[in-house]
Amino acid sequence: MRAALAGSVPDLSTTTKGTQMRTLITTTGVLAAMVALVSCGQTQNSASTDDYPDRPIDLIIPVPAGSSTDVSTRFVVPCIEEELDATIVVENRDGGGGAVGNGLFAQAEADGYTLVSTSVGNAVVPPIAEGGVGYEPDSFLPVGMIGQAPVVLVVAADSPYTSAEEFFAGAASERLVVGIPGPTSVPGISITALTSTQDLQLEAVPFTGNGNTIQALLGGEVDAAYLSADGGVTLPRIQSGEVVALATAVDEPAPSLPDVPTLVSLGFDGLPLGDSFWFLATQVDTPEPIVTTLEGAMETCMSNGDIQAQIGEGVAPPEFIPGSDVQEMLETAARGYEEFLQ
Amino acid sequence: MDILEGLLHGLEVALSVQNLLFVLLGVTVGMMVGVLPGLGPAPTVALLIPLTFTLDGPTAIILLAGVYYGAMYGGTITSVLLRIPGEAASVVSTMDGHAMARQGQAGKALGLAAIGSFAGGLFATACLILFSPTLADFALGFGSPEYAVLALLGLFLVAYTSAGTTLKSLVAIGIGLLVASVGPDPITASPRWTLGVPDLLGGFEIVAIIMGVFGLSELLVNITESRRPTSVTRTIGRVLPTGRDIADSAGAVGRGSVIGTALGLIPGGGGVLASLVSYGVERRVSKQPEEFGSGVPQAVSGPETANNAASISTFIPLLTLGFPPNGVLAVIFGALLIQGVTPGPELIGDHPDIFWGVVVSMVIGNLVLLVMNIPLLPVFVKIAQIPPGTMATITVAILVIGAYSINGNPFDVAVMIGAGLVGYLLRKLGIPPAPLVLAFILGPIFETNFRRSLVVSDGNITVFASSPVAVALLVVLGVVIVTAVTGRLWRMRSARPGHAGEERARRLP
Amino acid sequence: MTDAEVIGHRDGEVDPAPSPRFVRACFAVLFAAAAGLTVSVRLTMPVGSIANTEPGFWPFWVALLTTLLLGFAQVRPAILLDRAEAITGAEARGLALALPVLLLAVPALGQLGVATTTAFVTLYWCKAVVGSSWRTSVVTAAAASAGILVIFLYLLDVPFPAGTLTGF
Repeated sequence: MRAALAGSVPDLSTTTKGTQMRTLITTTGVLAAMVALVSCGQTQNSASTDDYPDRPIDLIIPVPAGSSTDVSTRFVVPCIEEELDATIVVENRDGGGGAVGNGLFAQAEADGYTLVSTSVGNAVVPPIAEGGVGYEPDSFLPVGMIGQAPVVLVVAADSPYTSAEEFFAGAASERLVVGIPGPTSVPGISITALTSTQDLQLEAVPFTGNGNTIQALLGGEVDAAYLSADGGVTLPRIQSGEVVALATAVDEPAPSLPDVPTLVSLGFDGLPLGDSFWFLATQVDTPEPIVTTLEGAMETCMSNGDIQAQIGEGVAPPEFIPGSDVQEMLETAARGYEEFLQ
Repeated sequence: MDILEGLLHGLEVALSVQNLLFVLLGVTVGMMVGVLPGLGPAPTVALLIPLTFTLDGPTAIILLAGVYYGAMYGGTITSVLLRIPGEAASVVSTMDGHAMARQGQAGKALGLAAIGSFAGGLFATACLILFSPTLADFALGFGSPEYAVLALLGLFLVAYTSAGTTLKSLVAIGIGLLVASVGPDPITASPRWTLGVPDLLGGFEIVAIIMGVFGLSELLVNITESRRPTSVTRTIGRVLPTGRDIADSAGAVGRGSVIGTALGLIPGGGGVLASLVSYGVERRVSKQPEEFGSGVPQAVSGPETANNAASISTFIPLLTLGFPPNGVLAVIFGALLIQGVTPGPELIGDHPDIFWGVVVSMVIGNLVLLVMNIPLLPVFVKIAQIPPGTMATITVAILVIGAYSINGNPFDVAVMIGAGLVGYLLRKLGIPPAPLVLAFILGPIFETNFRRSLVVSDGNITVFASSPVAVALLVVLGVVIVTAVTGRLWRMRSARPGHAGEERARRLP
Repeated sequence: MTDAEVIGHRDGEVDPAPSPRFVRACFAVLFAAAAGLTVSVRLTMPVGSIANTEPGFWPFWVALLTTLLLGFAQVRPAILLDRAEAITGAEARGLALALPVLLLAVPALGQLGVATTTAFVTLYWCKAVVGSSWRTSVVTAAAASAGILVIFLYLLDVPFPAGTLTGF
């Protein structure tokens, strides 16, 4: 046994000048081959619109798996696959507040084979706030809404403020701390707009995500929270009575919170769109027939009651919102945010 | 969910076919890693992260945890038989364990170590089950000031418990904090040090940093070793210890369980520290301390119990506070983030599958290891013979492809390589790399909570002493700093097993 | 199991002590880098004060404290040399062989795709860095690449982007 095993160990201890030389040549050779291959130019895949889709479609989600954009998109994907008779490869490319994934999307060929599911914040904020991220707010051609979550102002159930009027009256006379889910989140921009246009002593403190923000509110660290009414964190706690919704930042009362007054109805005008929404999009130069195909599939899938229920009541739009409407909202949001993102 | 309900739920999760397979896979890989010198548990767990992308949350963590405690069992084998610690926490077993092997008692040493490890593992798992939910509930009441002080305390403890001089650990922490500050500012989101590079806008990818600092730097440090295999012979002897042997070691196992579980909780703690302290304690309580080093069974069973107990109790701070106490748990922290789970006090409530499934899998895994250990000994000894060059070739490919698989972005591969080179140079300069990674995680937690507290309090610094918990943490922090500055012997240097072991330990994170 | 076992073994080697001059030079570079970072934060980012922290606040204090620590280390050679190791000639040669392939792998992944790059990296590593024979290298590289690709592409189904040049 010993002999056999000892024999199996290759003897590498004697390195002569000759083998060193050969190693050097090998090294140079392999490296040179790689350099040659790497430095060659790029080939292009040409798009064909007639038989779309004839190969798997990449769907980029610029946020981590498990976030609300990701989860709700994944509910829709199997239906779209069926509608298009194609495989959709979902890729989470998070980083840079959506900049990484959206940048990859915008730079891909406009052939309908690289789609994106992004939220308005991820689509609009990085190009305005950072610039040079490889895309602009108008790099997206929406083909349908997936979900919506209005921005809502909530306080803890034991808060001294029971209505929006009382809250804003309080904020006019004393410093109130409001938790937001992130500095460049839609609520974050909305509250910047609120404090810069109104004479209110509101101090916005960014937390990380809705769960963390609600926790800070329930722990008494902040006086109020200003965040999106998502189906995972905020809506259930409003329904259970742990927190009380005082106002929403959308123009019309939100379907999920019909009795909550809007900031507009309270007299706060000129605020940017306080609505977190996320949608499926392709590149602006995508051939018309492909856009039509995609939008058709989205309409069928988003009108499906089961999928709406999976995404969540009040989150999934009760009626399909087509790409052109989404695009309008996106443009409105971009214009509104630009003013307050400096 | 109370404990009984939780355990039942955990059984349901852990006993699914997939999770049973993955706990088996995890502990087997762990044993192999423990056996193979050079590749410690942190680099291996880092290498396995890409494999967890497509797994469910519980399965992913069950696999990675299995690798960690499995390595604690495996490391003993080469320490005892060859006087080469397969991983750092088994360094002390190269003393008495190897001495026993030379006296023909290798089997007894390995048997005692395995039984001790099992007992220690069960004890630590019981503590994990009993205390974690309470601790997490308590931590749910923590606000930003408490978290800020806790993170600062963690950073200091990491500095003082890491191998080497405190000053060098602090330098590693400084580097980790600076690397972590690249990317968006946590309060205003304005970009810092991004130099206009879009890939940097989100900061460095944590998994790429971990793979580089632990995996690639390890490979580069051992780059010459792929060229020099030699051989040596050893005998194993009778494996099963007698009832008498077990009775003699019962005290050592008991003490090792408590020491290991306690030291696993401390930032910078874990297997290495636990085994060193246990060795020191055993020598102190022994009636013949002068015999230590010449083959005392308690000097093997105690430390081996302690390192396994510690490898399990290190999960308590991660799963209740969201604080990874050492390098391996830092990697598991990254794996949880990839699963869309932010480690913190909400974890047990929000993801009961992960917490209870992993806890129950630890009992199963330890049982598997105990049963597998002895009959498979010859197989694991043979694994130690895989040529290091072959291992290195496989490792480098996994590192490159693994880093690429995180986001399909070659930039992450570049980050991994950069982190590997930095880690390599730091090791050469005697700067331990693990504090860098821990600082990379704890730094943003501190900065965010520190600055958030100050915004909430309108710039009033007394906010950090505004609750009893925060005051208590500040007192502990003060004690740690004062002790470190005046005494600097906090690490129980007397527990050092001597120069040889220390020399080996320093190579590993 | 009482049989004799033969095991690969690397005992009895002592790591060479590093040249103090090299270690000191490295720490001097680290010190200079930390000092440079401190200055650059001060100049490029608003630092603010404790009452009103700005983005540069934390990086500035971390960089400053790290600079001070490294400055203190400059005058304590005993601390500098603690646990430091020399880079031996063999190691430097190994690194010189390893670095190019690592750095080339970054653009290669994007252009040549995962499969081609893996094959190149493993073959190169086995032949040039480890120094195996051609036959061993080809066999090891083929086996390692095949194993890794099967795991990542088929078992895990990781959606790697195709190489822009090769199309796979």
